[in-house]
Amino acid sequence: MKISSVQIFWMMASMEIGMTVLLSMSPSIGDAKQDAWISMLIATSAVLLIVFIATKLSLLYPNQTLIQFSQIILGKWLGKIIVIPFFVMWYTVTGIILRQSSDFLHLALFRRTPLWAIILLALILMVYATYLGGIEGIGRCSEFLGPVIIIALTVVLVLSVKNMHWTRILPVYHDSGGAAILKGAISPFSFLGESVMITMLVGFMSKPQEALSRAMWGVGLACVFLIGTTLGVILTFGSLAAKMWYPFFDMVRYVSVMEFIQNIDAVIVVVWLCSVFIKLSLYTFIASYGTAQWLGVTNWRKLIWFVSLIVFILALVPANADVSSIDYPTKFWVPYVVPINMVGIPLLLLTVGTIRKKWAK
Amino acid sequence: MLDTDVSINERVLRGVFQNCSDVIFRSIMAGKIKMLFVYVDGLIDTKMLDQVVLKPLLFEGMPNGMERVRSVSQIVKDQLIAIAETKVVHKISEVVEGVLKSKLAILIEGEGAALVADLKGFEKRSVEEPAAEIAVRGPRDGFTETLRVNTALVRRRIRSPKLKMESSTVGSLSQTDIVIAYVEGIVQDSVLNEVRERVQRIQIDSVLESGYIEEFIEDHPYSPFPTVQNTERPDVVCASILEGKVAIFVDNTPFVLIVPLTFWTGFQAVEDYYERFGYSTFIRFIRLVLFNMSLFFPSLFVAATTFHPQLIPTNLLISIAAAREGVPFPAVVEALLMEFMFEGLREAGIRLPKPIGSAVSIVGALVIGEAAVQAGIISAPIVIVVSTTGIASFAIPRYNFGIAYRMLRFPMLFMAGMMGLYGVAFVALMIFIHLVNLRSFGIPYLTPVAPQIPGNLKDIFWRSPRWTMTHRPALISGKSNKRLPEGQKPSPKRGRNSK
Repeated sequence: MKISSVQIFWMMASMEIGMTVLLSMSPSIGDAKQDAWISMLIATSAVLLIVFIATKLSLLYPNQTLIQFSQIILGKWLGKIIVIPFFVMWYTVTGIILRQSSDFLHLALFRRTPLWAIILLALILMVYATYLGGIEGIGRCSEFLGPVIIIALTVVLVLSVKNMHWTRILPVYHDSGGAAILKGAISPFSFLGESVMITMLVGFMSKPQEALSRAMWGVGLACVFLIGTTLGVILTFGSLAAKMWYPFFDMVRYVSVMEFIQNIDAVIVVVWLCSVFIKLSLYTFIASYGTAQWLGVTNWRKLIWFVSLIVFILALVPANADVSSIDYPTKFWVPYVVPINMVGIPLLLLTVGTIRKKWAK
Repeated sequence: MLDTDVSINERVLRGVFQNCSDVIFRSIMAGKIKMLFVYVDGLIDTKMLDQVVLKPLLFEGMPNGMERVRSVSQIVKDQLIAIAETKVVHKISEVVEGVLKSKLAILIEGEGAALVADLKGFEKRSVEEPAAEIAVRGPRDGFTETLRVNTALVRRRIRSPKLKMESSTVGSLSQTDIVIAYVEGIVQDSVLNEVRERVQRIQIDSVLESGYIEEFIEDHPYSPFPTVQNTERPDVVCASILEGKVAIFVDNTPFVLIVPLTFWTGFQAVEDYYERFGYSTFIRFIRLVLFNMSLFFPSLFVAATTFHPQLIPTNLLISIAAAREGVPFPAVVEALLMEFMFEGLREAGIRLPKPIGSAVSIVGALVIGEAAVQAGIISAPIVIVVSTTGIASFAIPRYNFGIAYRMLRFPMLFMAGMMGLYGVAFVALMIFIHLVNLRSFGIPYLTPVAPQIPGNLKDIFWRSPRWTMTHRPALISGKSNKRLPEGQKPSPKRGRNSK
């Protein structure tokens, strides 16, 4: 299984766009009001730093995944223990993404369809993609769907221009102030920070030397669209957007061109589904492959069944959309996952790894 | 082994060909020597046999002054060599094989050997315009049922010793001739070896059409999508093998197989390369749209009308709702019924004799288009949807691609009826995941889009001018993939001295 640098680029871009645009915007606008786009800029630069650290770390041992090189850097047992938080992150977040996306579909399109049916179909898709193609197949999917997502989002943004009023971003900075803007950056940062999964992907690249630039560009592209859509939403709704569940989606609902192109929200849901599908398949792959390496199982495909079962149960656990979309990010993701998995462990591994490599010389 | 006594040989051969009324045994006396001619009636050029072989032997006898010649067979061979390829054989089984392969066997008294002469002369269809792939501009010749005619049509276009044609036989009973054609230096060795191996591996009693071979060598037997291309056109075969693909000719069928096949070939019609590139690009774009329509249109209609009416502009929705008023079925059932009827009509139209075939379509159009709508059993919009889908599916240049999409329309319709747009997206993504993971002889099905090969997109979504397509498809062709030197854009200034 080998993936090309083009695939890494599109994987990062298409995986990041969907959930971030859908969910990270409204808390950010809640904190920073019309200055949320500045928060997005801050989040972008912070995330690019994360990607830089994570990629540099994986380039220490370019043909290995996180599970393997953590054991080289810290020794067998310590290396195995230190990746446990990652497993917690991967398993839970896959379940939560599945739940959040199904919740969204449930609210947006099918109020009468049972939730588990939506979850099950999404689960079938991700298991099928992972089982059939592994990381190579997912790479090809994203290579094809990535441009589709980008084009669709661009078209939607262009169509919405008519409803935007630039005066709504005024006054810049004055209303909210630095602290609020920084606080608003937390939500998009926590979403975009998922690109730390690059530590599991570089090992599969046929040209790992290109990993750094491609991953940064991929995440960068997603960030550009995040900033663009945030601006669009603010220009359309002002700070009212903070009260909406899915402000971007509502902006699309607002589109009306020539009395004919109206209510294109269902189309955007489908496009967005593509992004979530790639993200879910990537997490399924990483979780199964990582678990297999951790346990020393040679056939990682067997573990897909195990992973998908856990993910399915986890997706059904939250009682309602509040738990999955608000409690999980604020009570678990931001206070634990962000500092430990996205910043702490990669930095620690990078420092120890670099020192070890220097000593070895 | 053959006996020196012809009558003994004859008895053995008559035993082998017992009850084979088409095998002819003719004994003649050439001078004092008895000769036996064995051949299959209808497979031998009898005119040639009479005039060139029999007449000189019977009337002129053995040439004079030939006593010192070693054997009679030597003389016959020398006489016959002028008109045909001749071989001396010594075994009964070889004689039988020769006779069955439409050759003439000559057994001569006093010699333990027989001559097998190639006097092939069976009826064959002349080269005609291919029926399945039609082009307004382009060569009109199509393959026939005769293997040698087919290979000659290709050889006439590529007059290079680099064009190789390896032959073999498949089928324990049918002994069908198969030729693997490729251009040395362009073909990828891994693909070629794979083709050779897969063809050699086939164990079957008979091969009656290239479809038999296709089923044994394809990569994904359970996939609805074809991974082997078939064509009736020599120019398509030439263009393909010049891209580094491998063609498989099978005797007795005008359909030649080409491997590897990629998804995008489905949109490429021959004429794209003969017409001006601007028009070809435009037409290809229309084809792409229609291709997707043939898969998605009915399901999107059902999903939109039943689950997401907000997607349809209000005026349109009102007229659809008005037309659907009084129709007893839900939209899915209606669409499924109509699609089913449409497929039935198409099948009936193809299979029936031509004069009745047109009657079927008239009846179908009148009954379903007019009467059923007026009776209020089905609604007019669904007739429009289904017929549009039908037209769209006819716009796919490769027949077997169209079949795949026609089949996949039904599960999609079913899911659209259950889950709306989400169901459509679900089936579409399932198909997509499947396509992404398909391979044809080691080549990913969606190249050069996924995996992306940027330089090769010139012939996929649009058709670039010929002078820009300087390289052959990278993954398909082998080492030398340079097609033409760059900088050949035509311009009045080129070639003149610049002053």
